[in-house]
Amino acid sequence: MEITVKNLLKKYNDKTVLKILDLHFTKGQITGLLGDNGSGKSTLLHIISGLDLDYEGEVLYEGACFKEENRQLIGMVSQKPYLFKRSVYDNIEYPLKVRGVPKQIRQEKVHKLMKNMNIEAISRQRAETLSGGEAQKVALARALAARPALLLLDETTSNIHEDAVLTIEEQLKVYHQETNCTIIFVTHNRMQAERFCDQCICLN
Amino acid sequence: MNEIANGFIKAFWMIVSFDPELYEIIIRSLVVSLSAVMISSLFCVPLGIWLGLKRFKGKQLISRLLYASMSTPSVVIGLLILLMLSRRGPFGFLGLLYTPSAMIIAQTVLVTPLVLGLIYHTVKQRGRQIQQEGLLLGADSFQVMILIIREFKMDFLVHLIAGFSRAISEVGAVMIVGGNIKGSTRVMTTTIALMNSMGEYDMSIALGVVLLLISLLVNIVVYKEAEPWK
Repeated sequence: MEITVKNLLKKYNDKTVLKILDLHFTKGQITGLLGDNGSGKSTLLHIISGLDLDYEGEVLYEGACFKEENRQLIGMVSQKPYLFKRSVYDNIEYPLKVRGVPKQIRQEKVHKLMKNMNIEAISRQRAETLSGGEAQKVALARALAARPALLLLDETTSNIHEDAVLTIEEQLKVYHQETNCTIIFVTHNRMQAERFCDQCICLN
Repeated sequence: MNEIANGFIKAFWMIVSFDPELYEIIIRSLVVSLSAVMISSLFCVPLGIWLGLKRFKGKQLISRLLYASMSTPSVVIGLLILLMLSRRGPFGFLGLLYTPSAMIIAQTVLVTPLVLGLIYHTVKQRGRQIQQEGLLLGADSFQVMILIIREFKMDFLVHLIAGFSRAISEVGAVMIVGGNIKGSTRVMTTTIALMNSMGEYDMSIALGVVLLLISLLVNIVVYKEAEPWK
């Protein structure tokens, strides 16, 4: 999915928190979004995700404004994702369930995702009991379950163990190659951005 | 001292011998209070979620009024419902005054602000993140509502139990609209109040013990269910 941001202005209580004249996220590319704290990286992701529609300017999805149907094509994982109070399996199954995917296909997809993320052993564990790295893997598997065309990652790999970071990066690369999706990856880690992304954008 | 001890002994026998009058009062109390809480929950849960998630002008005023109304005295509610249901009142033609239905209406009005306020507060604090997560995962508005109910089910259950506790322990509203009529509208609290004024402590003690047992049982069930994985 191609994203174009034009003359975007976001204010909180009359204070400008984000101003972008022209920004383009090419279809099928992994874009690293860098910038200092408070530069508006997460705000931009929220706007692109369609969760925040209170702004001036334009955000175009394949040349068109945001529509409710776009939600079905967008996935997002935040730094501290909210996992539902149920098992790992049920968490990953949720986006498939709300889309009415038949049980048999759901099972296959969830098992494949858990295998790829190396979390099969904790499939019956409740989400509340997971470590930070495990929770991020589950959140990512859940976001990928619906095979989004646009994946927004808001400091997804911050504060987790290096092994988990590598697993997540590896799976993201595999998913990207399979689907040619657009990924916007917010990070503070320049090394990681250079390693993982096709292009980097710095917000000031 | 002997009088109190005798009261306890008589109360114990009334409980174990399934005294018909005692159990009729207990069952009526439970039916009235549970009905009130269930009716209240039907609109408090969706309305509380909506209020907690929605941003609109005047929300702060509404939330302050809601919090203030959580502690409305039960006698005021009783008086209000009495005026509504009395023969000259707007709903007098229904003939509900001094019936269990009037008591259910009064208790529903009594517990609604409390349950609504608690649900609203819970959703306002933590509901938005669940809503956003649900929307991002492709859920529609109805599915988000179901998701929030599932995520907060234990919180909501505790809020409903708080409402039930308020309903079953109040005396003012049911006394005013029910009239404490023997065999018809007499419930545990109104019976305890009446028996105390008559100096007949055995029935009061028996009902007091049952009220405590209900409270204990409800708490055990709730805390057992609250953390099922432990």
